[in-house]
Amino acid sequence: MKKLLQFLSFAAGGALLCAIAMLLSYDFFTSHNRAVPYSYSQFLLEHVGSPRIVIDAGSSSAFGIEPALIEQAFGRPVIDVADNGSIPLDMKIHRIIKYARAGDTLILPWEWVYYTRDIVPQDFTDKTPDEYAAYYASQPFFDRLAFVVQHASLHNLSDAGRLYLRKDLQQVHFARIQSEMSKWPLGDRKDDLRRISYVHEINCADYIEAGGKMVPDVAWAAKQLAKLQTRRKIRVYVTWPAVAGSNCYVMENGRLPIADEARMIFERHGIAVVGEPADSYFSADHMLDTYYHVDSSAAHVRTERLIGRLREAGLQPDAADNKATLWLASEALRKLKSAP
Amino acid sequence: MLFVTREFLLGFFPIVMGAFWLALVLDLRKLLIPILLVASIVFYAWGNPAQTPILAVSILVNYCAGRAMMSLDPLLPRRKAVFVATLVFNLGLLAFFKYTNFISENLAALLGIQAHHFGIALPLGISFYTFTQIAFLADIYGKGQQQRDIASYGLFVTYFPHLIAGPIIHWREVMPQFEMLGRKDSLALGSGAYASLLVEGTCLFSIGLLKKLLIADQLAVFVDLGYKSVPSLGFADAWLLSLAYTFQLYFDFSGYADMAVGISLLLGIRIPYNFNSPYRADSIQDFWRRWHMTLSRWLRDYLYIPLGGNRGSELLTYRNLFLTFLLGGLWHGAAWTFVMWGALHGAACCLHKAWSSAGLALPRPVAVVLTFLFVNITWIYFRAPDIHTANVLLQSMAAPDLAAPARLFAACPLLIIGAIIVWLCPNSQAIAAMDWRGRVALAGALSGAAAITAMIATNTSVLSPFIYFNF
Repeated sequence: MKKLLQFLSFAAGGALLCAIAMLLSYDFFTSHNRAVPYSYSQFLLEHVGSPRIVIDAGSSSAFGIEPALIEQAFGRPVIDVADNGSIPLDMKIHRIIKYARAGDTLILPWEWVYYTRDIVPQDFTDKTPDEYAAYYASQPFFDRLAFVVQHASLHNLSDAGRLYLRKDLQQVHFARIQSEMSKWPLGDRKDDLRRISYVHEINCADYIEAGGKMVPDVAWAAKQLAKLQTRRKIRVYVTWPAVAGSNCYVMENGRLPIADEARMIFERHGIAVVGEPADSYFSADHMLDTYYHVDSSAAHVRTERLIGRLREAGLQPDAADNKATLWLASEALRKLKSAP
Repeated sequence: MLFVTREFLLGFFPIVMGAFWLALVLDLRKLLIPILLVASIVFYAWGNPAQTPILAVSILVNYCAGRAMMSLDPLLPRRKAVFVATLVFNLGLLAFFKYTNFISENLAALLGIQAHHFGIALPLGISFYTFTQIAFLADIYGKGQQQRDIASYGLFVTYFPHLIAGPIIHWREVMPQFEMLGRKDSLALGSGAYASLLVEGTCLFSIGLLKKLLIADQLAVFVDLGYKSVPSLGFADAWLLSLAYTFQLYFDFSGYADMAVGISLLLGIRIPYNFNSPYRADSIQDFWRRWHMTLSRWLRDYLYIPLGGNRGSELLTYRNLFLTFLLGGLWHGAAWTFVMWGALHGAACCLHKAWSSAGLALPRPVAVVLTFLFVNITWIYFRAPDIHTANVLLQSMAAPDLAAPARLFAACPLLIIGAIIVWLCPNSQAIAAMDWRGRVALAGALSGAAAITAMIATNTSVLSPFIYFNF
């Protein structure tokens, strides 16, 4: 029995040490790999100072919002850091907690999958060595430990190591940032050329997943955002994603149940929820390659409606003479490049 | 089923161990062999049930032939006829599944006609279970050995730790152990002897798993990448590629062998080791005493010696030696690259024999380096998709330039770690068999580390099959 106990305690110790070694290796590699952010939107989030308006969600808000209109309306720098719906909600929240600064205003038009999905997609995990390294690094120690053990694989670890050894990694990241900056200076990614649908085999309601059951992470997310509001003086506005298609929503008594449930959760935590799903719901002729990607004309209409809703909710134009986002971004990039 | 999948580590193996221990606790020892037999069949059939009947037919034919030979007078010609017929059956089965396309392609090339590709899938482990059974038959025929229990025989062939990629066990090694399992005085769950086996088995399994997942699988990425672009590799990259495969193959195959021996020890059965630090060999002969030891033993006992061994003239001995390696090469796969690999090793063995016969010797460090370099170069033929690719890679290795490695530089840290383990650390069986105070603690720590590594490795849907599963 004594030997068995000795064996088991050393097994637990060996397991813990091994897990920590893997975590430290992953931390070491990814922190080097993200020294220059992978994308322009991540660069904006890390390097443009507050006060600013930050739009964060999945790709629906990379296509479906015109940040320039918001910047014009509120006289503040606006950065659109929306990227991909495959990013788990808790990762989104951890990144916001890490990079949101006092004085920032957050606009969160999360896709419905954020409310209904509770998985870590393989696609997301496979990009944590590089593209999504900032998401990984934003997590607290024990969450990173759990992520490494439960989701990351040895392939991810070796990918991170290989990227670490690449001499041109930072140059590649700089080149990407500059290329994206020249095309989409505020971080959005509008591209009306993407008109070929690759979701024609799935109907809109199934694709956007607005009919599922709310996951517990949403309440946790609301609590974290509430803390940001009270402790860091950050204003948070939750709104709804842009969608284009037909029969995308299954309404009950003229209301979308999941939106009402989400509204209740956020409002309970003192977070403003602005607008209705109908404000950003467009006909199928505004759809690009997926139901969550709308064209720029829909984005324009949606943004104007959103600006109105934000004003109604109390967001006021900034009286201060703030610099334009592009100027701030260019300065930040110049500094980053000249940093040792 | 692979040893490094969740279905094996979290499902199959715990269930088998649970059933095995339960039978021991309840003193239902008669169930131990059936439990292991059923487990082995499930292990084999998992994922490829269509190939299971081929294995079953092979076992039945060999068992019946063995029974028939046991019942016949050794002097009767019919006994020889049964032996020869079964040998033809075994080799025919192997030839059909493994060499049909190879023969067809070469015949077509010879005749200048279009080759027909037959859609024949190679049954997993066929090379291994065929050799295992040929040895059994040869011993019954030549040495008059007896074996009547079909369950034990079935288990001997299908025993899951070794079934798919060896070690090639000899029935004399395991049958007595299977019989012992049924005896009350053999294996007791709480006994010191079994505890020692558990510690050794856990150690070996964990080391094997870590070797496979942390080194072999990581090197595989570079090897696959390198072999996709052989013509564009420079001198340094070509050398790195060859070294990466040399280490990948060792850590993959010896990792599998360690896991196989370790699993078997947990079940109270000791199967032979397959490796003994082969890259420390100081001659090609020494290498084959340390690499895939059970295959070398099989080839010696059932091919080299029946061919005449060293009983004839010196020339015949060289011929036998060369033929043994040539056929050993062909056993690995139906391709000219394997034939070339076998031929090179055969020629090297002949050369070494002549060298030693002349009383010549090199200082050991030089001999080790030379042997390693030779083995490293010949592995190129073993891995390359064709002879031309292998030759292109060798040409790059023989054309020095000062350019830094561009593609495979990132493999260097792993190669350094691999080299330290291969040349400076005690090998896995030495670690597992160490008789010192911290043995239990070491086994515990290794198994914990292996469990976490396996968990992390299996967080992806990308499979990591063992290289020798292809043979």
